[in-house]
Amino acid sequence: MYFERYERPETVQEASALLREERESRILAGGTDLVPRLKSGAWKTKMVVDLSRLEELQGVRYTKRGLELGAMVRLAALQEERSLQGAHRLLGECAGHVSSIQVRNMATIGGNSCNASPSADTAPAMLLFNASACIRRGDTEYLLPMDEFYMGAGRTALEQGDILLRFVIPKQPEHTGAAYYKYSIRGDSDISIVGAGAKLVLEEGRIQEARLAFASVSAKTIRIQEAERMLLGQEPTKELFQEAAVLCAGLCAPITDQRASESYRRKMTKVFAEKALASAFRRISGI
Amino acid sequence: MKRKEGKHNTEKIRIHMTVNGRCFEIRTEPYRTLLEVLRKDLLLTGVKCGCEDTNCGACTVLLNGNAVKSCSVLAGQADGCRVTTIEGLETERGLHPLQKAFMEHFAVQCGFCTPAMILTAKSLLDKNPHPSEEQIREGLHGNLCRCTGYVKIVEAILAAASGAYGELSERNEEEEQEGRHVF
Repeated sequence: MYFERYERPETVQEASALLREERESRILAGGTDLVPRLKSGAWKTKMVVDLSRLEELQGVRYTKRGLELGAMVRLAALQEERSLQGAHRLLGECAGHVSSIQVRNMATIGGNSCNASPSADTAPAMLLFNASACIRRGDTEYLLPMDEFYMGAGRTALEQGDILLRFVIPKQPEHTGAAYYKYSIRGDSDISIVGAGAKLVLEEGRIQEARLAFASVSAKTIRIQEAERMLLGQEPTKELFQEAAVLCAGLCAPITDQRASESYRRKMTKVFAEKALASAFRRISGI
Repeated sequence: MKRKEGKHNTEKIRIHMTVNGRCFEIRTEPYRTLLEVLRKDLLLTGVKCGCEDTNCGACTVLLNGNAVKSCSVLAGQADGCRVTTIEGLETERGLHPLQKAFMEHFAVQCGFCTPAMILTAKSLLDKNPHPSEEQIREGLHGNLCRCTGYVKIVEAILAAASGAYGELSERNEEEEQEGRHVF
């Protein structure tokens, strides 16, 4: 591994200036993906800019915009976070599914999104909750819906010099339930074969809002909007969830790799979409 | 740990770390990992270099009390932090209860994963002094034992948690010592 400079700026302005001054620079959040990639030679850089201690990128707090989650919040801390309200607790559960405790002690919620791994375990929750990324570009800040953030395997809407500051996650309606299933052979240290997330909002016994988001069955984290629409206005039943799950299995776009074949991934998408929907529904009923 | 020595004119960075209670000031190249600094500069060879790819967990150390894989932590990331390696667990009163339990329960086969297993277990017990077997297995997910001796390892940790090898909470192995060591 080789690079020329390691910088740990003390302000976002300083970080932004460094990243713009040296175009061959990489942001370090937790380093759990960056460092192995630099070591293997998959990535090369001249400068590593460590943002992990920037105060502005920390914190889990509720404001009038909803839940504001600092990009440098460590996954282990998010997993233990007590202030998450209602369905938002799923964010902590998803953080807990990422790899081992050693990795979660370093890795951050922002890093997990910026890596844009199709299998990222926290990414489906971002889509389920209609989260936005607060990004600093140049001297301005703007909000980008997470639906538009993930562009493909390892690709995001971020440009060189941009800094993901935090996530803004809207408050969820009262009768909301959300669940995520990670299906992998060797537990959380393994990469998922399928990651299936579902969110349901119920009003007067009918589904008022539905979200289905998946990891590892496409080049990026995806929603299956046809299945979401199909659920709207319906009464939640086992048959309905099965029907939606079949749609998901047909409309996802998995590949065959060393973990599973395409057809197996589709079958498991059906199984776990149904489980996620049922679990999301139970969580509403449980209130 | 392949490194092209002497080919680059990289400016060294200066970092401060408290390792096993001793303060160190270290000047090193920015691209070196915590694992390299601990093993090669401080000669703490209880920290093992296994896969070097964040998988096996043999390089686990405690960073401010939290288990991390030192092969994927840059030395600079540990600046200002407390680091504990297996060498730091023994005190004047003898071995750490986890070390005793690993010996008594034959939880050591080839021994390569052992320092990391014990440190991960320590961080687990520090947060949850009475874990279930399932919680121990979940907590050790990031540590591989190539001898597959997991049953004995889990038994040893359960025994240490029961207090059979001494009180865990009374220990203060990270007590800071005076003086500064410059590298």
